[in-house]
Amino acid sequence: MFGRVRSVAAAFAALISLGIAGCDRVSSRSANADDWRADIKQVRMGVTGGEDGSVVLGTFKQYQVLLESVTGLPTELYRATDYNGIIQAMASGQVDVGQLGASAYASLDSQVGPKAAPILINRSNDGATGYYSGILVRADSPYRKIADLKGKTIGYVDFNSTSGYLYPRWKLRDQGIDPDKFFSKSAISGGHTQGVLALANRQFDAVAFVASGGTPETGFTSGAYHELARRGLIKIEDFRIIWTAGPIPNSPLTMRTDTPQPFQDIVRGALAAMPYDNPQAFADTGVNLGNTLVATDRSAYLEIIAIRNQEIAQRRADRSTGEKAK
Amino acid sequence: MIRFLALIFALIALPVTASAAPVRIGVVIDKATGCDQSLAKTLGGEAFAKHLQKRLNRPIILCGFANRAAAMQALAAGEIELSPSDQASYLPVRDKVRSILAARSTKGAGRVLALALVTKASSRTAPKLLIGAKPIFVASGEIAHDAPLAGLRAAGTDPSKLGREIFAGGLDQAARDLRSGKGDVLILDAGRYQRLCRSDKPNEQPCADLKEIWRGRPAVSQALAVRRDMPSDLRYQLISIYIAMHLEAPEAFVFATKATPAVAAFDPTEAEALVEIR
Repeated sequence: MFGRVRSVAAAFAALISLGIAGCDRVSSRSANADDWRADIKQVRMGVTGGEDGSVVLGTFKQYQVLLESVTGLPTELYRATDYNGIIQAMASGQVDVGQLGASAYASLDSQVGPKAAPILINRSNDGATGYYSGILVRADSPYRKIADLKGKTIGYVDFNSTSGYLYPRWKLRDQGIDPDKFFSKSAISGGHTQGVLALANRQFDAVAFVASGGTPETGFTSGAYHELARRGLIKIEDFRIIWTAGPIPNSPLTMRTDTPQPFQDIVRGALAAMPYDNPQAFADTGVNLGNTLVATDRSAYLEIIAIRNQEIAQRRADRSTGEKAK
Repeated sequence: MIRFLALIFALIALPVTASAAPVRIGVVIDKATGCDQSLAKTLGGEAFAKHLQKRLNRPIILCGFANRAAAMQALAAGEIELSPSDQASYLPVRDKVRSILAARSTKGAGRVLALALVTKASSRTAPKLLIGAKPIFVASGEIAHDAPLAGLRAAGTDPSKLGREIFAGGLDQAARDLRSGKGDVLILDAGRYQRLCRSDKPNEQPCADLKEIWRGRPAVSQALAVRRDMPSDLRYQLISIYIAMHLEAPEAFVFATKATPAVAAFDPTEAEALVEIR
């Protein structure tokens, strides 16, 4: 009898001490239960060249430091060589959070639906939340307008690039130009930086590129084209923008929604507070001065999702026509 | 004994919501009611309370106060976790509380980041030294003029004590006006500053002969405040929930912005966003 009472008492004491230990752990970091930290163990952030490859490392280093600080968890950066790498990493759950271009998010959405969601988007100092796609030519070329490029070659960035592939092709079609027939040849350069360098090396007559930090009226101040010039690899005056389209919704920071809710909220809240809590660190991410991060959701990308579906349908139709012709 | 053990296990298995401390949110209403579980229903804020409760996994209790000052005193005393505030109610308790969120209006660009530049030789090295200085603006309007001036006021410059305003009509002309001494200080938004001072050539610094004496955003007139010692997890969770409320829970957003017309969304703020003369 006494033995049974003793073992019950010991079990009770053990349970109580577990509870106390649990409370200590919680109160040391948070007023909330933080069991999710034990569940996820680390933060995994996906890194690609994005829409502006040259700033990507600085951007993600600052985010890595912040996320480690606010979650108390090691934060790993997973690098992908192209857009598809990060899309697949997020789709398979190997990455919790990543910055995707709008088109890349649309691709992810088609694969996992609501299991991933855009959470934050850059908002510029004047309140804009979009950027532009442009077509760039060499300044010493005779091309002054889009019609001049008929029968010429064009370089796209990546099939999953919004400004460097999806959006300009859609907009050209909207303007009555079928890009697959209008240009004599097109190819994928592999990145915004690579595209501009390929143009400089005369591998293309024109390239699609990202134009941000302004509008067609004010001129642009950021994007791979400007970053390359600042690094001394090209001269701005050696090129000319002959066509722009936009604004395109900015690249969203995207999260897996099957991660614990407190984790999602802490990550989103800390990132959104960064421009105010630590403006220097936020500036070091390479964003345009005065930018902030504001909440977004899938509805902001519905047009891009529709354009991507249309593009895929067009490619399938073209392939089918080509196969029949054989 | 079995019943005793069952009781212990039942206690341990209680959901977090039931055992976690509630989040008490101050609201300004006609009269002080204190913290009252039924207040959300009375005020039509059930969707709001439900949304926060679901996301925080903690009970939400609304606490009624007759004015912001009383709510902020309660916040400072640890009687509530989140309170509406304004400049007058914030200042007396600012050592214990901080601003975390403010409503952004549907009209205008919001809290535009701006800068003030003088020539390297100028003795006007701080906003408070701009009394009598002739300010140069690129243009009129909210982003080029009104917001930068409001930001400067928060930093300690009384706009009424500035000299005659010069509107240059263009960015390059504004810079020329400063360099030529036509005006004493160039006040401009961050977008224009970037276009003026960030070169597309390596190692070229177009503004090397100029000196930045201020950079900031306008103060906010109202904000949501928390205690400075609030655990960062809860602070970030609240920020996340509020900034996306207009998208994720429109009904809750209507309640949260009831007292403020035409709100587009909530934005995070600096700790001292309510303070003018920072």
